[in-house]
Amino acid sequence: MLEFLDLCGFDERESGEQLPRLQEVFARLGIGDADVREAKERLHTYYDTDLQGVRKTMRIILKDLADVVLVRDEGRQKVIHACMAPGFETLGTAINTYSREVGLIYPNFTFMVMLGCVFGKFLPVLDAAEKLWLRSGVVAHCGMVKTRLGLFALGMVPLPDMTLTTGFSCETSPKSNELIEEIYGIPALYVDACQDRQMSEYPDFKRTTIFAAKSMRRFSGRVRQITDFELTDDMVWWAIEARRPITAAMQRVTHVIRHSDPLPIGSAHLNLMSTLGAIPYPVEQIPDVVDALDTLHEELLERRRKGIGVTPKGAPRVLAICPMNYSDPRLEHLANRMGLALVASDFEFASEQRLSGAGIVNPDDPYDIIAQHLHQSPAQLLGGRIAIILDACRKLDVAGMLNHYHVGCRVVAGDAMAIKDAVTRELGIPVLTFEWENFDPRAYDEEQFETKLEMFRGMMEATRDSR
Amino acid sequence: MITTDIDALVRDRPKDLDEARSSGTKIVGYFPGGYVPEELIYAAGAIPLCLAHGGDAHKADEGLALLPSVICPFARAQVGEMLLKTNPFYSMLDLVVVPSTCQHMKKVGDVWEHYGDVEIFKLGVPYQCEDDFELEYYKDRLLALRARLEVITGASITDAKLGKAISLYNRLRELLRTLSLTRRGRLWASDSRPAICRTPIYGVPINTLDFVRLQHASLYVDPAAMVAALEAIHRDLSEVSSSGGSGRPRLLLMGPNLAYGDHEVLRMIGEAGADVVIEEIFEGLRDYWYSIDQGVAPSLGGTTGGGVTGAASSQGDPSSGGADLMEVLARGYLLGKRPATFMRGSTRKRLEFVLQLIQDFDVAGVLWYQLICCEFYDQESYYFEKALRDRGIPMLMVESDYRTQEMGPARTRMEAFVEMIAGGPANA
Repeated sequence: MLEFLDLCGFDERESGEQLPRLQEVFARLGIGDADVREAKERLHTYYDTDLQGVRKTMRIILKDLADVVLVRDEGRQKVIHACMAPGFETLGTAINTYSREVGLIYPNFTFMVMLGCVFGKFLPVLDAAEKLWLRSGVVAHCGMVKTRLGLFALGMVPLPDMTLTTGFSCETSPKSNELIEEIYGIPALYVDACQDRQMSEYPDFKRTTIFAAKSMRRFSGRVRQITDFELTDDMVWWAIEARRPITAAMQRVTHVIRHSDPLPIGSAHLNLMSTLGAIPYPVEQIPDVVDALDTLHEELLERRRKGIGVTPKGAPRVLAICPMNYSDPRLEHLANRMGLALVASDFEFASEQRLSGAGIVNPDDPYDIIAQHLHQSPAQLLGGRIAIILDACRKLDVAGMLNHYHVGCRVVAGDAMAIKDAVTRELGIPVLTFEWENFDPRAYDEEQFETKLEMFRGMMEATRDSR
Repeated sequence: MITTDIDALVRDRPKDLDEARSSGTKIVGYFPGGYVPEELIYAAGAIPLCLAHGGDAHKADEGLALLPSVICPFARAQVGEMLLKTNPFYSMLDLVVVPSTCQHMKKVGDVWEHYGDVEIFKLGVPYQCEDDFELEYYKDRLLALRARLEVITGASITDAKLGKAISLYNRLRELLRTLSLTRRGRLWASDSRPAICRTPIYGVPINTLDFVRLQHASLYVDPAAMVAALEAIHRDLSEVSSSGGSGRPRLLLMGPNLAYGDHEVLRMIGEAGADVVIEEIFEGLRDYWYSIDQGVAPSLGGTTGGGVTGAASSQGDPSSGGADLMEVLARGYLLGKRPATFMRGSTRKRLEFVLQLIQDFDVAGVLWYQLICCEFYDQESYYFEKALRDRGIPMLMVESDYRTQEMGPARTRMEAFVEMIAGGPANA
């Protein structure tokens, strides 16, 4: 266990302090000694634990795992559970800092990384959900939605006092929360945007963000009704500012990853970045997060200076459509082994409205500021997403696109053919398209993916040679 | 046959549309779900046309060129129609209104916008209606739609025209509602309910396949002609004092979609020995349970009053008056009817509605007709099955991808279900 904690960036002092807590958490999650041994192997195999920044990142995620599991034991009397709620990590920071009684947890990504990527024990979570109303099969319910339900069903996260999700892109998550309310009696809160964007308006979607901002503000009102805790605008402003260093540090890291040759770190680490960005840290934890990212940044710069990487120099650079698998690092690991540099996913990019701030209607409304995330690629309409992806491909100078579309999300899956079509036509680069499940380790088939990626690499090399 | 004349109206409709178009009338299509006010389109002097064709695996497969197989077959079929251009109803459109209802249809709207050659108007439908900003948003979008309709038709939508259109569609819904109620199958001796709920008792109820076809026809045929046809049907149905009954198990059909052309499930269950006597379907059929009351507007918080066997009328604050018909329309469509599946917190309300239907129509079991990959309804089927089972009402789910080869196993399951409800094999 101590060796595992060392791999996860705990120093000796902290290991001693945290050990009883983590042992309690592992006991509740059914993680035994054999699992810890397996986790160490997986960390060595799939993650660059030579980098202190990676270890520090794992430490933060592991601590969040413990924070979530013990949220009630450690004093929070009212718990809000958030899932598929971008922007609420910020409101969560406000709540978790300003209140000691109320806590907002946003556990899915953390559990996927830890239980899935690190321990390789994610299937029972999905199975538990599939035994309820998110059955397996052709219907292809989203693994993210299954994760929330499965974690509840297994008692891995404490049942909350309310659930929160958004309908910014998806109706599956809200419907599942509604059934959780009906069956478990846990009130469900929903925050929505109205998904009626027209391409003739692109990139100006102020009516979408204004609507979302109002819906988010209503959430705060509901929190007060249910918990007696008032989330003021000042608190939200404070949280926005408190989290800026995280965003800035993350951008520095992803900039190095995107613009280095060879690729300085495995692509599987990209989902660690997403996970770090989704945790609703109380303020006292934020310096650790920035430190982890800054450490990683320095280490990657060093690698770049030395020409060290996980792919050969000149390896084809690839943009992924949909993020790296959150619960299983194998595909990204395989791709890197086969000499493909997956440098980013389209989810990391947004329209100019987000970048320039032109989308903000009321700069005095903190919810309007938070709602600007709706200019990101996954929240866009098809035409907007294509525009953002084409722009990203050009900026990153990629040789190909890995169009693995998450079948559980009809919104992103529905775009897949059109994206392939547009990229092929406009950029003339190879696009590998296949069905994917972003959160389910069962989507991985080594032989099949090896064949596909081999062919894909060949196409990219041929395209490059012909130019 | 009740539906003979209706079939002729639908069959002849493309010719009518072509002629209308030649004389400058605009044709405005919209996708089903019940959130696009046809009244507005009609008041603009345009022809509203609900794009609700389905049931054809070939059309759905054509859609695979642009949408993956995890998109439901009805949605894919809409893209298939766009690509094939063989369906006259899909080929004469000047504008298509896409309501933001389910994810699949939103994606269809995106694909039509990206690849199609017809203008698309996306009508945002808020998924909850607890506060003013949601109603305002929907009303604003209706106002934008109105402005667009006025531009493309060159006609202004006056209150007089809109009021007439509302009355016409209310009448259409009322006639369908009254016909629907003939399937209740027992006498309602005394009736102290509001007038809108009372209905004469017919001894010859309409059968559900015919009724579904009438509903489908109402989505394509001119509403005034449809009203006239339905009034004729009412006149033809005779009043007798006894309630008939086939003695066969009576079922409620439930599910996400029953498209124009997707009637096989009704035929199969009929052949299996049961009668579907009422349906609760999200898309593809007309929601006739409500009326738009031009006098008053429904208040925030959802439908008030009405009940199942009457219309959910828009009863709200009488002091609001009926001056702003766009407000009335927005409220009527968003608040004045039972919420659709995608609406937050709708499941329980819809369960209550279904339970009322089961009681009013003497239903012995529920047939859940599930389109493959409709994740909404798939989730809900778990809840409904459990809730119905707890109340002693059996439910059978059959899935469809519009392919006939699936029908064999589905037929067997339906036969077993009907046998179970009927209390065992008829010839045991």
